[in-house]
Amino acid sequence: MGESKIDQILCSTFINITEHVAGVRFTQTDDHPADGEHYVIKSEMKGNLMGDIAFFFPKSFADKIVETAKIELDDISYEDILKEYVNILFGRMLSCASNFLGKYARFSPPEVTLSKDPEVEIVNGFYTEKKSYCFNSDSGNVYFRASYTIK
Amino acid sequence: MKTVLIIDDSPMIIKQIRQIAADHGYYAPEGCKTGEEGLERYKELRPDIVTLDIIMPGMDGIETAKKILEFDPKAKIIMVTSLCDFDTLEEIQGLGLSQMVSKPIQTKEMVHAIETILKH
Repeated sequence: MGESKIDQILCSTFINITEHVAGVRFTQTDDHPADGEHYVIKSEMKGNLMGDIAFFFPKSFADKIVETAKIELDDISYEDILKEYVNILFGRMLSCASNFLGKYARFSPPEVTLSKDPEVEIVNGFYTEKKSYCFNSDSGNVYFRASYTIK
Repeated sequence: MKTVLIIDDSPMIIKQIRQIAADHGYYAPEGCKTGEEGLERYKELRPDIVTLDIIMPGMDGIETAKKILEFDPKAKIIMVTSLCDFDTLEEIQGLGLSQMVSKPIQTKEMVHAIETILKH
């Protein structure tokens, strides 16, 4: 089954925003299960694009995001910075998808956890589309998981 | 000194906007992390400007803006968001709000929005 236009939009937005915000260039590569400890950042999509969306970040990439933010980790935590980066990412991704579809889409505030087995953190609901992608960079592999239904 | 009330669930954004405000001669007290808290704080403080995130736990920024405007139709609100879809832009314009700053926040853009909204 070919990659849909929505998936192309989500993937290209991830690549563009990450380069712009974190200065890291990713390229899409063959997907495979994420192995080892990763930060799992999840959110729920609402509106006419309903479902669940998640990224798995290796520590090497998470460190890069935090480093690029140039904020002292005194009253701001490492996870706070990751959440804000993902907030920007999800906001842009869903906005681009929403504009393409002409349908309303929002997301819930992202949650961040550190997991030794990130794939088990994803519970696939009863959505029509299930997508998995992997992106490669000098800062490691990032995995993208999405389950959704377009109403 | 003009007061800027920040309503955003991100401590990082609150810190960033407080710094921008301080650097440009505005007073920004501790931010509010939810719309509910922001609404109550608005009623107590009656700030000159509010910066308001959209995606927050509980009451979102659009709903918070509506309630602030119900309380004070002259409230000066700057929406600060990563969302850029047509529906969100229509909702913001529908509330009569003219200033919006995109995340990641650029200092110049935030300062411009503050200065513009204060002129009107």
